[in-house]
Amino acid sequence: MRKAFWMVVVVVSLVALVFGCAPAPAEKAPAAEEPTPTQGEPIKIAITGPMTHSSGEQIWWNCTIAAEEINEAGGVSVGGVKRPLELVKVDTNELTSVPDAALAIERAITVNKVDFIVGSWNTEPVLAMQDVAMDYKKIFITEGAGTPMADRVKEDYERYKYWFRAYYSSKEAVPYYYCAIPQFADLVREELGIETPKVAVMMDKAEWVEPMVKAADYFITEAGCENIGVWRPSTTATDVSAELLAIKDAGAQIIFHIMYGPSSMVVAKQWDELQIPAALVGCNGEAPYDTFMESTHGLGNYLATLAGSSEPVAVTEKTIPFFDKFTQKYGEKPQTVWCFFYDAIYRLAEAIERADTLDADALVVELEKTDYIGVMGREVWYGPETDDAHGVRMGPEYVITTGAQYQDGELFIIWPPADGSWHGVSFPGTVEAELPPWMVEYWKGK
Amino acid sequence: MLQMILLRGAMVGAVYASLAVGFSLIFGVARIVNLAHTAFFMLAAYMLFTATSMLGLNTFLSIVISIVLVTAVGVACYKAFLERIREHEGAVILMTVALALAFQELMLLLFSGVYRGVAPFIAGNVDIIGVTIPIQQLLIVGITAVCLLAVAAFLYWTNLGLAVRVTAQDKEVTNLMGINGNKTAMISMALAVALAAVAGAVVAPTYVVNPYMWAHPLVMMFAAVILGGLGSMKGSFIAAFILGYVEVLVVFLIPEGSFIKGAVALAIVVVILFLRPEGLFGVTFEEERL
Repeated sequence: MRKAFWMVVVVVSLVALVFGCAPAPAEKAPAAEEPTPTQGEPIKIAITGPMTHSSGEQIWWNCTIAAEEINEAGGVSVGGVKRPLELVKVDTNELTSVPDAALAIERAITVNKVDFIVGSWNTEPVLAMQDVAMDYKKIFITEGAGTPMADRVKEDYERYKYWFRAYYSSKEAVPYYYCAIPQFADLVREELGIETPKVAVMMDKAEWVEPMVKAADYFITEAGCENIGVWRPSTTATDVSAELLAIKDAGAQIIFHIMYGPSSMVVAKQWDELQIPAALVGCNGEAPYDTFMESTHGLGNYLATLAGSSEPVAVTEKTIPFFDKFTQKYGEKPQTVWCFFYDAIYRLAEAIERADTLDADALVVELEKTDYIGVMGREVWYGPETDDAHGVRMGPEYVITTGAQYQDGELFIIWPPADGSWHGVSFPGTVEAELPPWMVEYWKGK
Repeated sequence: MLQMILLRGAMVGAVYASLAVGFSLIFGVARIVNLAHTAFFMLAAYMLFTATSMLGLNTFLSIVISIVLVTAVGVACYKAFLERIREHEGAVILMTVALALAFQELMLLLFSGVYRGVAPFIAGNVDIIGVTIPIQQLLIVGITAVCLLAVAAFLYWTNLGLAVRVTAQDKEVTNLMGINGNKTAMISMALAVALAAVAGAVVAPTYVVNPYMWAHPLVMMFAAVILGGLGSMKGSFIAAFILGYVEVLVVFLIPEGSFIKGAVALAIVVVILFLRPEGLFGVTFEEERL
């Protein structure tokens, strides 16, 4: 009796452990219509990401809209036959477990028999997933701004050529990340009379951020500011008030932050709660989402971040129609950083049609020739011999990102400036950046 | 800077203390290594979120409901899963880990992985010795202190508390004296989970509520309990503040190393254990417990 009881306990515990640890199995998208006699077999694309997180949801939604549009137009032509796209939803659990992510992608390849893989964005798990995908020679289009994936393509092209970055790398984006510093430095000079603003750098301890850390001194000095220190909290930090108070104690007027994950929401809340007298600028992973102000209960006003706005900007003629369609279908605005996956599905489809095959080696050649006008701009991949191999090129004629700031609870574009001083590029609805009122009051009282 | 360190360390230490003392209580009395302890902390945070943000209930009522419900869940888990196996520490550890993971997955299922926030009970800041402190964080220290005092009063000024303490000291003699060990263990479990629930409810407005929020506090809580001496509530209390201050010191003195503040605190635990394996207030003889 006792033995039986113990066996039950062990079995229940093991089942609970497995249930608790296992990533969710892949889900299929609502099936495309059954192939008619004039249609070929579906082309299966695994859409990967942390599907229990907002980012995973957005990735799935972006890819779904693209696939639906392509299928409504008849599908992808391969060998004279139109083939529909079939998406397979794969929850990688990549925000908490690298092994889960690698396992999920291997299962998608071996069990779901997908032809291509699109998705994911967390650099460390993407590195692990990249190896799995390359083992099977699968075209793998991901985000993840870290540079090691590109380094692998350059150093071992034959093995890693099947990997492409859906958007830009952190190295490529460095000047854009730092665009807020000169803007806010000028505000500090004009409103507070401080000639050399002090800048504190606060960045996640994560691989993809390393190029930003290395570039900090250069860009801060270029803007006529002083770098007073670098704080590197964990990506999973649930309390950064000690860091913020230390930064306040160090006398910073600007906090340049790059944070994703839970730490990004924590920093916005605690910065506002503690009324830290410094402008919080940089890149905040949670700030662009519609739910940000609701989740922080209104805290985080005056935070400036990259890649988001309450209203979409017409980067190309495709942008606004796409944004409207997405918002109508899903009740939420698309986040610009995930819209690259919408374009990625189209880039892949066009490459398949140009190559007229699903053969990965032939597709690599076509993908490398991509020059595509998408919702996010003109998307061209760097060649494999470059330092940013298979990454998307940034620039006024290619893809750019916008800077935005929460003002009165809404996210407004503040960069590129409205006067067109940055390469003649500006967008309707751009406003002037503002310093938090408590910061102005604090420094004027000093 | 000193005043910031003093005050921040106290805030961080208070949260760890409320978790560590509860854990020590249940281990000291029932010999249960409850690795699901911080999962109850997470449950309380989610219950508070549900009650305030989704159901729109009054904050005070929501706090009470969260604590009562989580305590009930804790007692139910004890009766269903732990009571029969509490003599077997390996099985208890396995079971409590399974429980914690099950709660995590349940929260993922119900709330997804989207980061949630709870509004502060009282918005605004106060200035204390030149340091701006959100009122919510003062509430954390205050409520934690009141709860710990209440637990101390219960343990030292009531007959039931006496029964709990003697059960922790010597289970065999307690049984001989006619005290129901199982009932005492269940009461201790209820108290411990209630403390975790209080911590979860008061801390929720300052944290990001997500299904994985139980993991880091578990590590620090365990470190505090081991550093203080397994089973010593006094030791756990003091060790929690030591660890809180170490974390804050790392952030202030080594900014680039703030991501390893937890690891530094744990390294100090290891060093102290080398010098004193039983922990700061741990017992070398059974009779010295509590």
